[in-house]
Amino acid sequence: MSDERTPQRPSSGPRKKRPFQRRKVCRFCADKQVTIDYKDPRTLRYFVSERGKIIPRRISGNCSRHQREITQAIKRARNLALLPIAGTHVMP
Amino acid sequence: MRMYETIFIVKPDLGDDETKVLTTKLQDVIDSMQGDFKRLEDWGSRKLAYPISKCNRGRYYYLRFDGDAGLIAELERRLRLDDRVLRYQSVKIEKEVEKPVAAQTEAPVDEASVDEETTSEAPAEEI
Repeated sequence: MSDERTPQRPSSGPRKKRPFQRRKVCRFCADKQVTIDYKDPRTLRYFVSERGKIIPRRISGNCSRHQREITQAIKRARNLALLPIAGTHVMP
Repeated sequence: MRMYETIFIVKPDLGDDETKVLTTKLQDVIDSMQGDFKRLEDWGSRKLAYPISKCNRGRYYYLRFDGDAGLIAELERRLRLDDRVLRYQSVKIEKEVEKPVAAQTEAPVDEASVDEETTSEAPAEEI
């Protein structure tokens, strides 16, 4: 991703704020072509953890508006069994 | 008039005749309630992310229509009462969303088959 903003200096003083900080850019703001659609589980899968949980905004780096849309879309896709509710379900 | 899209999942073991009867009935409901039927897409049989009423696969249908609140209530009532329908979901859509739907609905069908393979492989590795 963008490696322009890495304020981490090797062998700097005892600065204990955050060890690593990367500026995250909302991928939907950066690329207007990508749309959020509940019928497209492929893009939504990127924002879901291995256990099927929605990845929070502080990790995924989305802006609040797009995170809201993603959340809405994931929940709709779950209802339609396009996305798992909890990881991989055990098939009988 | 509002724009709606409904996706419903039908049991996979139904014959073509039965699904045809089902879809024509739904279209009759739309016509009788002064709705505007746009199109019906068959996404084919897909693997479900989790079993619904002991079915691992389901046949997806995408229904796009315009109508009023009374119509969607009647349509959902029909879907709810039908045992062959595993799941349904209706979404009111905005104007801008309408066009990309056509382009995107074609793509996931192919992609989904790829997804299915990857998801089916994944649990095998864990076990």
